[in-house]
Amino acid sequence: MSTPAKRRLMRDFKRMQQDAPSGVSASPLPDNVMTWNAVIIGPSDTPFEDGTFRLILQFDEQYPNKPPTVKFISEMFHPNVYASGELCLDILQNRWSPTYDVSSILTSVQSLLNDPNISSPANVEAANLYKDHRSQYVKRVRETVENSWNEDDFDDDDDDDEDEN
Amino acid sequence: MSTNPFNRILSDVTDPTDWKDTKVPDLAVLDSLERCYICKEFFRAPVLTSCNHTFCSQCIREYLISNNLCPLCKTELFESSLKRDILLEEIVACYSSIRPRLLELLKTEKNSNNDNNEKKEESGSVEKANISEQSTSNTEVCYSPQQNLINDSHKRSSHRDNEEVIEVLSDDERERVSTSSSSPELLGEPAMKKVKIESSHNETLDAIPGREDLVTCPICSTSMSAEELQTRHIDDCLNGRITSRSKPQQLQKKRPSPRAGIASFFKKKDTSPLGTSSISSVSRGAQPLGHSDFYFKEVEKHVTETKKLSKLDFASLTTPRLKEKLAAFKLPIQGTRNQLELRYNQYYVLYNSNLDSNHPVSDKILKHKLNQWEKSHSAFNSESANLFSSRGTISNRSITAKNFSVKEWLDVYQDEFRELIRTARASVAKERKERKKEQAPREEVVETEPTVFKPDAVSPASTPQEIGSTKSVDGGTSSDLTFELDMGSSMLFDSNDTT
Repeated sequence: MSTPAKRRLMRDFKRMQQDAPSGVSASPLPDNVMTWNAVIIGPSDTPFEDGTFRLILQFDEQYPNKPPTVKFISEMFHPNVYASGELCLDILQNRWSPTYDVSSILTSVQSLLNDPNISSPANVEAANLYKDHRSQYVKRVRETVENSWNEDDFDDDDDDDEDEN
Repeated sequence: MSTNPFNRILSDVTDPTDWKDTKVPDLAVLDSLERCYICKEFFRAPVLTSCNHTFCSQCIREYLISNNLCPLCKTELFESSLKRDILLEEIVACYSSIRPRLLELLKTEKNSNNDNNEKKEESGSVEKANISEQSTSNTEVCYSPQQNLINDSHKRSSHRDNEEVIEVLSDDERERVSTSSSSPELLGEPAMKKVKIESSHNETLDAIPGREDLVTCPICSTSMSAEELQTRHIDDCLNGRITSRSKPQQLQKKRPSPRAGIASFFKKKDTSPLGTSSISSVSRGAQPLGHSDFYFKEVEKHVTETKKLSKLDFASLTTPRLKEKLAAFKLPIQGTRNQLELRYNQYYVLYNSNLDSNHPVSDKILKHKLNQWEKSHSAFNSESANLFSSRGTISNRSITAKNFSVKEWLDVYQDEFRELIRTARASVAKERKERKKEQAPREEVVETEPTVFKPDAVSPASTPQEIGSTKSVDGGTSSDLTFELDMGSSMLFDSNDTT
């Protein structure tokens, strides 16, 4: 537990626990602080609204000097998300800065959802629909949102909104 | 989330949010200002860039090995322009040593008198109170935090200065912690006990500086922490009220010539060791000074012109020459070419950042840190090179491997995800509530019903709560979320170009 990367990740975890941005949450695997599960709730007033999108973040010992690998494991329909779930986001590649943390990465991905970059799409179909047939695009996105709920196991959490308040 | 085992360690992690539940929550701002934007810890040997940003020397130097832009403002940045910030380092050291005491005093919980539980106070967490109620007189109030101060500064220094060495120390640390927290002690003769523990700890770590050191009382010549001397003992001593606990004789043997801390304010000039030091600037850190003392009195140290290591141009360096260079610094010369280069670079970072510290450590410790670093670096370790393999337990699997199974992952981590969704939903609900409150007066003006996104097709049973409750809210997009973020995160929004 004592490498700089792990210490930093524990810090990131504490930050997420204490002061998580609205609509995102993340925690390391119980036995491996270098890999995290995360959830992003689709932002309100966007086609992604209320989707529960699951992601994995994988860090290495060079963190925070190197960005983590970030990947959606929920089905996504988005111009900048590959079929594999990996995403194309500059701040996770060439514009990475070691000042970023888990919280800022997730907020950034969250804002990418409704603000895609269609100049170099990872999903050409999504980019084309986004450009030319927006209502089709919205429909496809809504499907993924509904599918994201189906992944949820709702049988035992009826009214959980108050739990964490 | 509460089930995550890492939660247990979190109480040891200090964070600006620790101030949230105190009488002065704004101290969170001060707290975060004293932290490096890269490692998010309190500044260690802070340096100022040419664009006026501050980072730990080691953090920014490591980053600059492979980059030449400021991590914050993306201005071009050269290592040679970094300037150490002596005052800030002392301010941070001072702040982080009084931080636990402040946290304790400003806590809003009613059990704020339980000030002899230093673990609780260090972490700022509330749950760990395992101490009995005490009636707290003034002297005790002034006294007990004192111990905590000693303990915390000890802890702090072991975190800050010995981070890379911590595996070696961890047993010691644990022992110390358990000794000090399990003893019923504390009101009787605690200070001495603490000092002893610390001192025996020091034996194993002799050359490691940064910890709160013992100083000699100018009147009775006994050793104690600078804070104790300054806040209490000096008055007692001057008034002839010396308590038995101020005579830790063996300690004097162990610390033959402690450098003066804050206590030197009370000393006559001729006893000050100032200028008599023959120790090289690299090892003199073994006996740190009080914060203000360092700043005001050790002026000559402010212009450390000890030579920094120079960056090597590996392209024009043959492997035998590189090995010669390493050997000249008494560094290991085995390994691949790549490892040799990495090793030199890391030593170069450690060495140069050490020179930026007001309390540099010995070369031996630097080499130990280098060794620890190599152990964790994938390029030196075939096991950790495959840190995330395509086989093995699922938690160690590479998420980019071809045979990575999303289905299996979702299955194994079903509970984790459920918890995460719960948390994320709750935070959205909370924000919506708050926003509604703010928006209430303007609500009728806003007419941005985004009907197109309305999930009509969804049956009510599978619709998550809250979904219908938000449509009239101000049309806010995700950019509204930035208001809560720190500078590092809000920068992300400037640059959402995707590739």
